[in-house]
Amino acid sequence: MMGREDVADEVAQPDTADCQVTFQPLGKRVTVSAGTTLLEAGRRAGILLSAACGGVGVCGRCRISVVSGDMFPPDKEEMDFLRSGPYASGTRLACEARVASSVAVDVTPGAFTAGQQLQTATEVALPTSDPIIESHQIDLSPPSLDDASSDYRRVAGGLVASTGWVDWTMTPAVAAQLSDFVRQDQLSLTTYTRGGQIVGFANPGRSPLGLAVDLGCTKIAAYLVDLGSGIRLAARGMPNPQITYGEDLMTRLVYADSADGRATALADLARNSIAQLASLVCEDAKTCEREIADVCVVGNTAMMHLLLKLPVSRLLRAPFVASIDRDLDLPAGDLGGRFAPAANVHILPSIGGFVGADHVAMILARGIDESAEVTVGLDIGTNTEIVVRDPRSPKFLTTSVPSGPVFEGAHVSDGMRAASGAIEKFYSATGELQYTTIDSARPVGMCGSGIVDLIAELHRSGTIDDRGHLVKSRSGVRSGASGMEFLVVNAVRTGNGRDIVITQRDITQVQLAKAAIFAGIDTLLQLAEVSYSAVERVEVAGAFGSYLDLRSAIAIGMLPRFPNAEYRQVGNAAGGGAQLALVSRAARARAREIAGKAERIELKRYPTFDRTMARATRIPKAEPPSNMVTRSESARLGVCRDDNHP
Amino acid sequence: MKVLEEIKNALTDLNEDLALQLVKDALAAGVPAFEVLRACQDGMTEVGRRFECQDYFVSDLMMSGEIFKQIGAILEPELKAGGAQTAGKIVFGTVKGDIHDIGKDIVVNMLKSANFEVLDLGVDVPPEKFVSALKESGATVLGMSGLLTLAFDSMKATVQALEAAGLRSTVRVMVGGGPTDQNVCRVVGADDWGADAQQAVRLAKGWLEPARS
Repeated sequence: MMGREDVADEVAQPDTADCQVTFQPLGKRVTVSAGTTLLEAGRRAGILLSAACGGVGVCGRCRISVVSGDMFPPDKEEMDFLRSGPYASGTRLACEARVASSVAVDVTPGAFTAGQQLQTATEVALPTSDPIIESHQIDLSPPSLDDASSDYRRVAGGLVASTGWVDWTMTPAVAAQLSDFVRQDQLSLTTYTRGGQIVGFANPGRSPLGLAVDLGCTKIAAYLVDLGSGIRLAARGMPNPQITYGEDLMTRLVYADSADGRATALADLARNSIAQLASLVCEDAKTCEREIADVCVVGNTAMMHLLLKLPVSRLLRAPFVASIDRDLDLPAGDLGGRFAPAANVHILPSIGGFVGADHVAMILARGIDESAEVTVGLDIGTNTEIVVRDPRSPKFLTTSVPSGPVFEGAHVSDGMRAASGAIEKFYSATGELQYTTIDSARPVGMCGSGIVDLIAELHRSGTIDDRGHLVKSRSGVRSGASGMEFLVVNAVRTGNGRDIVITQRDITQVQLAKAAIFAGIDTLLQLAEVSYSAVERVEVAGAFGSYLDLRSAIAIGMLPRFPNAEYRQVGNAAGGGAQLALVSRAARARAREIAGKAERIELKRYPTFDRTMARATRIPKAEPPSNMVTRSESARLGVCRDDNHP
Repeated sequence: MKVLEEIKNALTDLNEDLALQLVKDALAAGVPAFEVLRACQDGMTEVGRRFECQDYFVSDLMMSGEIFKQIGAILEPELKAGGAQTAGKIVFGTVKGDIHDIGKDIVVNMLKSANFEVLDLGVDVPPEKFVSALKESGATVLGMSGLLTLAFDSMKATVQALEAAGLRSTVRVMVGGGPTDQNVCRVVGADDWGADAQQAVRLAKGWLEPARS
């Protein structure tokens, strides 16, 4: 530890001093100059600290503990936050606290975004009858003095012989790859083609591969697909590293728009992540990225704008005008991956506002556009996209409600992502509140599914009333630092020595978020003139949607109770749609059709939405029937943990 | 009168169906609309008080606002016919580029319940619309709401538009919404700011009822 004089010295010369920051318990080290924030140091060390507010010192989710070394004193913002405590001594906000010497910091579990439970399962059977990428086995004749025709001629000749098509185009990058093969005297090749274009080459007998990517606001999922057989070879997920620039879309868009170079920084983060995931899935499947002949990316409108560096200044202000909403193809090399030299990235079309390609992909994967059943589909995330489809109507109605990051564990005092030690389920047994945690670790917080269960259980036991108010006379309810709270787990049983509580404020946040989802569904049904009893199918997609206990979701009034509907939890359907669009031309055509038929509803234009939402903040009296039909199609075997993050 | 007390209590307890039924019954029984309104205003004041005591929360303010809005719609024709006296006129809206209206609606309803006549211009309101509403109505208080940080630019532009229209010296400006604070108030050139609906009501009372307060 450095002495006082050293600190004074460093204060005097903040730009020249090098400070080593050690992140415990990971042992990661990074050297930064004095005055650097711990959040920034974390970024440089590749450690993602959660900064829900965009790093402006208000949300407190980046709390970490300084174990040794000297820091600059807290500024007013941070002081205000720390005073709102009580927090253990040494607690600082990573986004505000600046290093003054070499320091060691302990990353509290709650502040840490890595190692999340990421769900990348889908259950779509991939058809291969109308492929976008075709492969051809070509045997080249060796060049000789008698036959000095170009490498291109030799390949094109082979393709003409096997396909009858005569006009083959080839980019210089593809020619360079071909040259590598023939220089090694390899005269037998697999040639990947798309339309009349040669995309790349591989060793004989290799199927072309495709990479499907669901670029989410909080997580990115990637799937490696064998385009020849339609079999999924590998799946991987990782947290979206853009999260350190804001947990919600708006904060990120404002950041991208606020100064030159920031949009590029955010785009690079997304692109590098895709490249990284591509290399991971290829490693898993023991193959090489050069064999990836096609890529398909889906995401909401904002994520696509950030990925493609499209202008966002109009997207972040009402009426939220997108730069482009049709499907796009661009060279995959633009994303930085080492794919087949002429591979494309296909971007699915989007619907309007923030309802984007991921929602089109979900509708596509679930066949909601072709179903004969009246269907309500929702993809719950930071924004919740909702679709209502009545087969009698040519259109379907969609909307997006800002359900906020509450269900991803943010903006709740002891909320956390679905990582080790998160309480993922509450239930009551013999009158006692019981819970299970991820990895069966000692609890350090609650993730979204746990929070929904908890509210349902507290309502059942009368600890909160129909208005969501904590009832002061009930056991466990007490006065805390920020108003009334319920003690969920006593500090002696937690993994971090702190009580786990849910505050009245947290409950109100959940009420507002669940009311928005409920009112969004209700309003779309009204506009579509579909009654509750007419709904036949409810499809709940998304990672949170797969772990959510649907009975709890209905009990707290997040989802309406449809008497005749079958509820299904369908996993990452957006990722499934991306995979479909990877293997099938017809799927891409359907995606265009879906985007054309889907009408985006701006809920603010319907005055009844506010009233419905105000009413929907209540917790319904009636319990869902015990014989409710639910099916989980999320095929949990496909759930993968990201082991490549600390 | 017993029915007025019941209306007040139904509203305070957020009992929507009962409150609406009682209002209709009272009007049918010949109770003057302005007295029903006053009972509702008392109920809303009590809701506001409970909010300040942390007995009520944002979801309850939303609910009370929705009930009050519906009662207002029932009473409005009668009140117009009666030429009821209000505490003053206020123009209110969520600024251009922002469409958050939950907070704005709560403030508008609280102001209405405090007997102010509020012209709610809705969301995504451009500066020129604020200016023309102020000119046409003769209102001397402007309330601007915004939840996004980019709303501050619109607030600033609106204050500048007021200056350009020669209204700045006669119109008092308050701002509010999620990230608003004293600093934002100063930067955008507003007169004051409020962290919640109760503060907005207090500001409006201070500006419009100086003699009575």
